[in-house]
Amino acid sequence: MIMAIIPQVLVSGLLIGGVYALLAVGLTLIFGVLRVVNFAQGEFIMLAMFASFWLFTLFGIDPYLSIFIIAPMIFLLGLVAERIVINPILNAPHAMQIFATFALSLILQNIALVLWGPDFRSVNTSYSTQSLTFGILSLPITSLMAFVSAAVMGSLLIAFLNLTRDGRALRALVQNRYAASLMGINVVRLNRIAFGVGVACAAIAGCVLTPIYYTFPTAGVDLIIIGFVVVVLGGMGNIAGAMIGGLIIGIVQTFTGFFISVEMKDVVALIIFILILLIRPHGLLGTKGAEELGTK
Amino acid sequence: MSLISDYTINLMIMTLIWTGLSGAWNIMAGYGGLVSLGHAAFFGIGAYSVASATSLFGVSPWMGLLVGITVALLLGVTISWPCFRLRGAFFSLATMVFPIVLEIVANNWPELTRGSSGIAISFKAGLENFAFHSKLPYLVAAVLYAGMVIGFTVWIDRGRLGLQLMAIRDDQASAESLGIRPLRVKLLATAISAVFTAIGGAFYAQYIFFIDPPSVFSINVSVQIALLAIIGGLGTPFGPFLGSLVMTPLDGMLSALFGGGLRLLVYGLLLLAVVLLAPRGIVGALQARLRRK
Repeated sequence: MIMAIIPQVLVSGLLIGGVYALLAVGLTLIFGVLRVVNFAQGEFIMLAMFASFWLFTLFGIDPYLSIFIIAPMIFLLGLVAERIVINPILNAPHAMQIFATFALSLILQNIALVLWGPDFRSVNTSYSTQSLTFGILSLPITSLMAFVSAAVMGSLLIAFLNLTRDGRALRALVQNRYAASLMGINVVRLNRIAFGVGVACAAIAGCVLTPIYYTFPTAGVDLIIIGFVVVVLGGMGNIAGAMIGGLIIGIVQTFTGFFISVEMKDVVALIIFILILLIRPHGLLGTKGAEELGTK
Repeated sequence: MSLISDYTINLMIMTLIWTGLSGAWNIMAGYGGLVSLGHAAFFGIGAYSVASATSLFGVSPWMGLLVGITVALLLGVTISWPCFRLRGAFFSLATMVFPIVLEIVANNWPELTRGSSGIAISFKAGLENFAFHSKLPYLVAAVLYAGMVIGFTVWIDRGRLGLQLMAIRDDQASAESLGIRPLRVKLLATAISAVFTAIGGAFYAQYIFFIDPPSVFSINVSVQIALLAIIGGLGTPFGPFLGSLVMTPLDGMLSALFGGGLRLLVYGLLLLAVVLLAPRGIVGALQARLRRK
């Protein structure tokens, strides 16, 4: 009985892990390029969830289609936020960096609270309760779609980073900001792009979560903590690490939720987080010393 | 007796409690650069130790306070010891986790905490129970508490410990090369900070008479503690007091006017404005004005 359920739990974990990967990728890209931990990342997810909810409720636009409207909008919002909040504190002491993004998170959260109230909202699509069955596996369509969208968007991001000029410049900045600026890279412009792309990743994660999760003003808070866990596990600033870390945390959480208890799910993730920070602070794939970057 | 209304006295008490809490955080974060986002852990331990002591085990809150101080001290030292390997934002991320874990523990350990329903402290007047009919004794206690934290901070600010902390904050490698032992200094600052925060938590519980896991372990508590020091002036002895003096009454006014969302929105905007426009806080702005004259 137990053995038969293991593949099912494994696949469920993998599916949610795909979404974790996506929300962590944005966070890690921003940290890698700007050396700032964006505490407001969860709020960009939440804004995207609300946008997706309203597009569905008011205009009947499918949450997965709404990605193509919402991601560019959040990208633009990210450019503005970078200009006002992030750029001025890039060389400030880290206490100021932390509280600048924290303030941004507080502001966005409470704009949502004032505009839309504290209610838990959910989207009911025609396929919300349907599942596909493959042999012994039964997969909810929403989770499957979330994973597929995450995989597609993740691949597009990797293509962008590897194939375009801006993408290559971003990777150069991750490796060495100073040397990259000497090579004629426009750091100010790329900072802005990195932040925009980073929060757009969060927006996509938000859209695919709308059919699975509840939408409410503090929805981002729980998600951002998972995001931090994944990013630290994979290695801060490491894109591939964030993807693998997302899958690992997804699987670990689903297994603890199923075999131990749902409350323990978060505790286990947090314990992994602390252990990684203490034993291997540069994460699974990060290079040694990476955790020291951005601290000077 | 009413020269001053109960409302004003209450405001003064809350201002002073938050001064003490924020001042305790300031010792670690302002002087040592150890930007903790987990001070709700020490706060909650202090609050739960008196609440559980009086309401569940029937012992005096003073006993509870002693237990709370001891637990906060032990926990502060053992959990931050390994975290000192982390710098900057990574330290903050790690500290953020502890109150979350404690909140889950408090929710699932009803024998010690009554779980998610929280503890309502029963009122038995008398100094031995730290419960009074009038608000004045609380005000005296609040003055003593805030005064103690400020006094300690002045002593740190002027003395060896403060210099060592600031040297480590500004450049750990150079500080080490001058013979400062970072681990010892950081542990000492954390221990002082944890103890003062636990005392503040205990005081808060005895004054409010009701606590539950989200109200004491929430990230908002950690943020509020930090925010007052930043607005007042990070790394200055009187910054937390000035921050609390401005923000606590403003907070009361905002919640009376708007309630939840808008109040926190104003908070966020204010915090952002301070970080971007006046990173040295009220103290910094006052100093700049004095110098110009």
